[in-house]
Amino acid sequence: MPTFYVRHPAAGDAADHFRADEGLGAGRFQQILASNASLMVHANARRHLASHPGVRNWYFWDEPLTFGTLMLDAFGRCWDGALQVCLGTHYVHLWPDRPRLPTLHLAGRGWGPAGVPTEVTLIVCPGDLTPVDLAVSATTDLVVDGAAHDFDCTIRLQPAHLAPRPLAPSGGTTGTLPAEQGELQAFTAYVVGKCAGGKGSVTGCVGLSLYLEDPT
Amino acid sequence: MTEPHIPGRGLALSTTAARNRETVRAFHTMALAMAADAAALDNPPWRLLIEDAQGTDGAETMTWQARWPVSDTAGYLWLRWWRSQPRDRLLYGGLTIAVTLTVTDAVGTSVTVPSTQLPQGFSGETMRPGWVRSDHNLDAWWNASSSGCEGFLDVATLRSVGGLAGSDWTLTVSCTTSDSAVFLSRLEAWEVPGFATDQEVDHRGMPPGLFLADAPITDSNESGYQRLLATIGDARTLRPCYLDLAWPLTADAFRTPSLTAAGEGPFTLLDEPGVVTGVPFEVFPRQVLRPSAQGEPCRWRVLYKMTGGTKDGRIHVRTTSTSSPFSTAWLANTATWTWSPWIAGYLRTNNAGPTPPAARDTIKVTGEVSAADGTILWLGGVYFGGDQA
Repeated sequence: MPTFYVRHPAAGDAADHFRADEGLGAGRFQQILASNASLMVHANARRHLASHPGVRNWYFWDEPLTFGTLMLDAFGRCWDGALQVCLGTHYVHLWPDRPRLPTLHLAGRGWGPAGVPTEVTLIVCPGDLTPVDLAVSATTDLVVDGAAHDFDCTIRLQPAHLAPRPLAPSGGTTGTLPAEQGELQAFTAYVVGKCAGGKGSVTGCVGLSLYLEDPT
Repeated sequence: MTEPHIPGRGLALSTTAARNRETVRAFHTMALAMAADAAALDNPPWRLLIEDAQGTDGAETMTWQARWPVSDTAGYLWLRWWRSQPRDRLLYGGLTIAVTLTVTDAVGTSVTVPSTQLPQGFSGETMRPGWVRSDHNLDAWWNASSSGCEGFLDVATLRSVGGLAGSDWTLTVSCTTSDSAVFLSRLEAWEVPGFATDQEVDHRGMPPGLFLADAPITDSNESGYQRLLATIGDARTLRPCYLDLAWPLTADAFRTPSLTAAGEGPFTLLDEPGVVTGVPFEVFPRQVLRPSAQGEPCRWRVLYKMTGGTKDGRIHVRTTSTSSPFSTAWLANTATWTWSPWIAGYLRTNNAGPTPPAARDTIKVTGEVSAADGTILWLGGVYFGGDQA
């Protein structure tokens, strides 16, 4: 796989190797084009999906972790208790030149009360579904010494984690027929957590960053 | 000529398939065109997520603003918002929520309500969340966030009919609620991958059929190698979106980051225990150039205002690039939400990382006021993205 972009004269430039009536050195120029196209198709597949400032001072009601009851606290508002963040619905493609889906990576910073088990879970649901229909999840235990530490959750996406999402985009309410249409494979990502310390625990799950990386 | 394009069909592309003194055959160039299209059209990078951690409270109007550097190859923007209701308020009747979207370009031209360019549900229509039976036994999350609106913005029509110019646009979202029992759960958006190539439209890929066997190759802006070169260039100049955060445009310390100290320090809501450099957002830099300590060129800007004093403010971004930190000039005191100028930055690409060749970096946002006289510097939004020329 190429590791950097090969600069060449821009299209239309006086030195453009590909301008009209210019003889082609087939091998060299084909190789430059193939190298750059291959690099860019991989580089652009490593896409950032979402960033979120995170949630502070969350606690947990339910033990053990049951996804159907975790999602809302007694007041039904995530910022009034439970760690519950939806990181949105996203599409993914098969990785270029590999019959594999990309790896989904959540990075953040977390803290919890010293000595109190505290964990963060990344949930993936097919299409627009909610966590009761989760397809896969990954949990990480936070380092709990009162200070903030990096944490990561990684999910190797599989076809069963996705659902088709047909799209026929047409701007606004103009009523014009879509000029193009197609189907993407999509999932929705959630971040939830629990802390055994209960209400009043000093917790944090901040600096959330969700992105795609090469299949592992 | 237009041809359908199926995103996600990237193919193995050999850099040695064509060699000097051997004939270049149609499948060589068609494969190149397909790879160039995949690189340029499959993953337009801009996206936005506004989540309910800073939701409305009571009967009020809340506004968010985010920067949208429109990707050259993006034809449409997908948008969706969800409303939410606390579980113990599901039986409330008479609740309303209305979401209004405005798109503005760099010189201030706007597409706002009323406009047929804006999708249904984004034009300030008053929506009434449905009643839910008390014995409804579906999952609480489903109950609480199961309705909203979805639609598209057509970039070409926003330009041709709406009069927007350039590619540095702003999305302004306002949400008006009748009661704290209903609020904006989340708003999300992403640029839609291209489902077609069109040789007659700039930045819309390279129809592979133009390289049919035995057909002459004609070079121009619309066909041949020049078009192929331009399509690969479009893929390179896409601007990866590493950070796009928007907070409610209000002077409320519980909802919007702020600081009051002279000397660089973290904003509230962007701080963490015992650390003075702010919360790091981990990113995975797109690597186009050779890996280096300075890294890939980026650019960023922030939305800010001041209250409570007369001092100026300054905002810094730190990465692990050897050129870091990156700072605004002193920003003149203003009580109006204002976007800073674009500031150049870099993301380092030779950090040790688990996924070579690209390594990870972090972005931290900090700030300061010129003197501590009670001036509060508020942060309403941050955009940090790639800027590969």
